[in-house]
Amino acid sequence: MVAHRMIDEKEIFLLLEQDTMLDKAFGFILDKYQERLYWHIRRMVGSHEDANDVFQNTMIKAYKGIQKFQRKSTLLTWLYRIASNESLTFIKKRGRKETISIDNEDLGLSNHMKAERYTEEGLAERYLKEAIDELPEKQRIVFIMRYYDEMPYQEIEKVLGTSVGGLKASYHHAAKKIEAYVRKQF
Amino acid sequence: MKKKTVREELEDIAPFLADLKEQSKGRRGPVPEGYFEEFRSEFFKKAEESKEDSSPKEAKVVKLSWRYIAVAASVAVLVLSLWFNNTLFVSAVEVQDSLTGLSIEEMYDYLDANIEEFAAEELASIAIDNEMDDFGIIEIGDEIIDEEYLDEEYLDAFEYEDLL
Repeated sequence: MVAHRMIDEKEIFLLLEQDTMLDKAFGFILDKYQERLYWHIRRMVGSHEDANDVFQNTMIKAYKGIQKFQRKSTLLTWLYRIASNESLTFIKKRGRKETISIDNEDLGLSNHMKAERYTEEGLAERYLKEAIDELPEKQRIVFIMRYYDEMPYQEIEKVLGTSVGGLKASYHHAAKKIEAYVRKQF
Repeated sequence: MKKKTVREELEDIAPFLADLKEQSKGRRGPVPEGYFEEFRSEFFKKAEESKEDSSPKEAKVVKLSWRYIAVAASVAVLVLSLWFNNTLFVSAVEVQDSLTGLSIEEMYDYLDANIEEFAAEELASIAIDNEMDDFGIIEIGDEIIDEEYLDEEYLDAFEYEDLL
């Protein structure tokens, strides 16, 4: 494996000012953020296969748009915004394609996703993810950003364009719902 | 005031979840071995392809003589007029054919029997063109209102609240 030097966003933008350095700059972006973005998407969409598709689309969109990026937010915030939008679009499309029965036993996960989860994680985490999948989109994305990515509310505000107050309310509501669901299973 | 950490905040609202987060720290689902390295190398191939897909195609400039332009314009006019006649005016022609030579009584019978075939506007214009006063359609300025809707019983059937 080739080790790549981590550089900061300023250096990345300096490289981006030269058209010929686009691939090099984007290589640094991948080194710096790809795992974080992949896991954000994976938590949103569920399986690795789906996450891989959404992650690819996200990065292609970022690659095409990076030279027009106006730097009103940090690069990571901008990438999160694309990843979140792509994930939500994917979830909506999947929702239209799959007929999902929702009852106490089947919480909206397709069978292949369930099988993957049941073997890879502990029971409590499995219930946690089932509960997350049941949340409305907005609460789900806020919960994932806060609980897993530990993002400050001010940063989530920049990604989602929702006020800090609204985000706190969403997160609290989501956390309480999940807590109640997971507790009920034991 | 010191900002609460994610953990402190979670302990306040969902303590069970806070514990769960602590226990499962660093635990993630499986990812194929070497996925991120492979993704990186594959990504640039795909990015290159996407650049080619989205590059604007060079517009072909074809010089046409006036003769070709005239022929093309004539064909376009012919096709458009055929389409126009066969689609937009079909129902008007059919209505006209159906009603030609009928007496007013026969028209009433015809329209009664085929009422579902006509749009409200068509019925109104037939009734007005043929001075069919008993057809139950009256004109108020630009508005055409079916007399049924002015019937006192019909209006009485409405509750005041329904009209709000």
